[in-house]
Amino acid sequence: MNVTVKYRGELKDFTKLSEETLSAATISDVLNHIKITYGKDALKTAKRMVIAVNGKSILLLKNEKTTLSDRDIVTFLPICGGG
Amino acid sequence: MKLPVYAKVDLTSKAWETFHISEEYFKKYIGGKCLAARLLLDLTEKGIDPLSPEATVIINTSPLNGTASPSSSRFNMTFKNVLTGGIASSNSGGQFGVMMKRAGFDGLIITGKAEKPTMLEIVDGTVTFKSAEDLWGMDTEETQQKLPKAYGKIVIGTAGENLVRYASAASGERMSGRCGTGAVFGSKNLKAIIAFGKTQPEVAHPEKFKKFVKKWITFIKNHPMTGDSLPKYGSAGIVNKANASYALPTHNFKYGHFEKADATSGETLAETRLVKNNGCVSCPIRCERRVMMEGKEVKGPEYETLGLLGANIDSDDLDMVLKINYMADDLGMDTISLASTIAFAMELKERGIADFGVEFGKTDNLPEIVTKIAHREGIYSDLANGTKWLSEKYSGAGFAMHVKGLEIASYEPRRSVGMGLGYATSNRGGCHLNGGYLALLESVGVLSIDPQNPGAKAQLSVFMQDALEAVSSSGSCLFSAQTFVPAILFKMGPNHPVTRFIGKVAVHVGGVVNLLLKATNLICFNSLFLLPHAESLHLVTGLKMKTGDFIDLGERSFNLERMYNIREGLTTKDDTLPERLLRTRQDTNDTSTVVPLDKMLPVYYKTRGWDEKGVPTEKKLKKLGII
Repeated sequence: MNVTVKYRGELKDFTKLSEETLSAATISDVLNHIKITYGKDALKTAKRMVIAVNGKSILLLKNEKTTLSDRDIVTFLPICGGG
Repeated sequence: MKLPVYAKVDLTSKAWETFHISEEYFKKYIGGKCLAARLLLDLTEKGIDPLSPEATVIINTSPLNGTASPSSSRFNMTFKNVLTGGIASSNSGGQFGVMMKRAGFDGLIITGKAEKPTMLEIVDGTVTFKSAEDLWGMDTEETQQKLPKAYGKIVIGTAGENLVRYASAASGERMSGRCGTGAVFGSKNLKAIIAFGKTQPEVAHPEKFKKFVKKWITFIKNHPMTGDSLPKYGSAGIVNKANASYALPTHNFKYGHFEKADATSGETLAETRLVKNNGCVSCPIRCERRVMMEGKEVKGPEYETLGLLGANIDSDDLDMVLKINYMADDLGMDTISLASTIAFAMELKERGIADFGVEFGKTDNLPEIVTKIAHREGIYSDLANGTKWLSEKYSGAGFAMHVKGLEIASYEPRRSVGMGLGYATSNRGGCHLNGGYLALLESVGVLSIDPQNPGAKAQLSVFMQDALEAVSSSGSCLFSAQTFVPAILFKMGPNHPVTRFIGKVAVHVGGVVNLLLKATNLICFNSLFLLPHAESLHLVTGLKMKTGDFIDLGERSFNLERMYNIREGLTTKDDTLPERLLRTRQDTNDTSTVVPLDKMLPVYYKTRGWDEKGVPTEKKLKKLGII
């Protein structure tokens, strides 16, 4: 599946990209791509972020096993707070 | 021990006198909103009109204000809520509280109505009545520019003068936003209060305090929330997470997700409009955004404003959010109530009930409409009365998004049911903070305590409401309490199996939390990892203050506010939510996407030690020392 991956927050410091297109069938595949391409520290950062597929948190889907479809958008977002 | 000294001011007779807080009251109620609730109960009669001369506004500080305790510049205003008829407490950053204290007063108790526009000047333990006729008609920015730079200030703008029911008061660029503070000032012809002084607050254990403050600041700076994400994104950073959790109010709370939400997110704000971040006096967090708006550097919007002027009106127009945020502050109006009232008017239009010229997704005419609301021009005077009033005039109570009359903040409770319970039981109405802010632990933070499961939400709400009540009463910003979420969770992230496991089991800890609430004397220690404010209060005042005592202070405050509401006629019927949140599923295919308030409310009352009608029992009030 060709998906678009968007990097926000501190993950962008590793990828130096705002977004890229890659082939991935699950969120695990995306995380694996980040590990291979940008290193273990990038993976650690990615894993502690909010991960959304088409704007929906993977916590509401199947976490890292969430399957992806063609043209899906995967976004990595920083955790914030306030109120 | 130095006891607090207040000035009691009568605007009608232009007279003032010193008002001493007794040792008993100081030890029991400390300061801020807790002490102010006690005073409001003591000093006012039942049933007065909040905008009448008889209405009283208490503006006060706490022992930590003016000291080096982190994030401790918040001052409090307590008064009869213009929107709900119950209690209002509204706190604000800015210089005023610190300066009032340096000028010799820990608080002001203001009643009466001045014959003509008036300003109070507080200097060297004296209150002076001054004419403000030359300031009347000016908005908050211009008014403050005309006043001495070195003074702490509270002022109102056009909206307060015109008694817009959700008018705010400004101190610098910080707003005492909610519940109609500005309208109360306006009703009294009170345009401004200014204060200046140099008296430093007393600290009972100065050396220990100095060392403790240093340790606490280091702790705050090293915590991922207060040391990294809040300085980087401010509260604005919540937009995308709330949206991903379907907890971002959209289309007047009809939905919880907006496709274009990223356009008004904290990340987009940081990437495209941010100039720098800034902070209040004594605050190491520095969450304020400085942004460019039409070529001018201004204070950026908070999460609530981005959510309610973005997704909730179907808008992706970030520049318009910045503009309306600036205009609302300048005219002196609460952005939450303003934006929510506009969203309600948009739905009235969509349903063909009333037409105020506002439509979902259309923003170009909003600046003109906001100005007309502040001036109460023509039909826009209706919008100046808030959502509840509008729904009573035009119908639409089921989708009028308020609780007790105060518009709900920007968290969709059908994806954060504990927050729904918090809104329903908050003493000031639809407020997330007074409601215990469980959304942070359910849907918008690192932890997700099963957002649609009511388990343990009653007990957690009570605990969080009391904790936040105590932090406010200490004069500290609530953001300084967010370090209680363990840093390790941020290192693991929301998707880590351990974080998810905690989220799953936490719905079963109700019994444990209940026991803890009943035996706060067991929390007979202080820790940076819990609520460091307790130790700070102890070192500044010399009073015994362990974490358990601190939680008790919060519980006392929450019960006092509840007693005020009951005295003013509010009942269990007011502890509710709009029909949309109780009966209409957010996801039509998911039966759990409503707020099961009927399941949580009885447990909540029981946990609080209230009877089935939500009235604090005599036993509870005696235990808290209220009677």
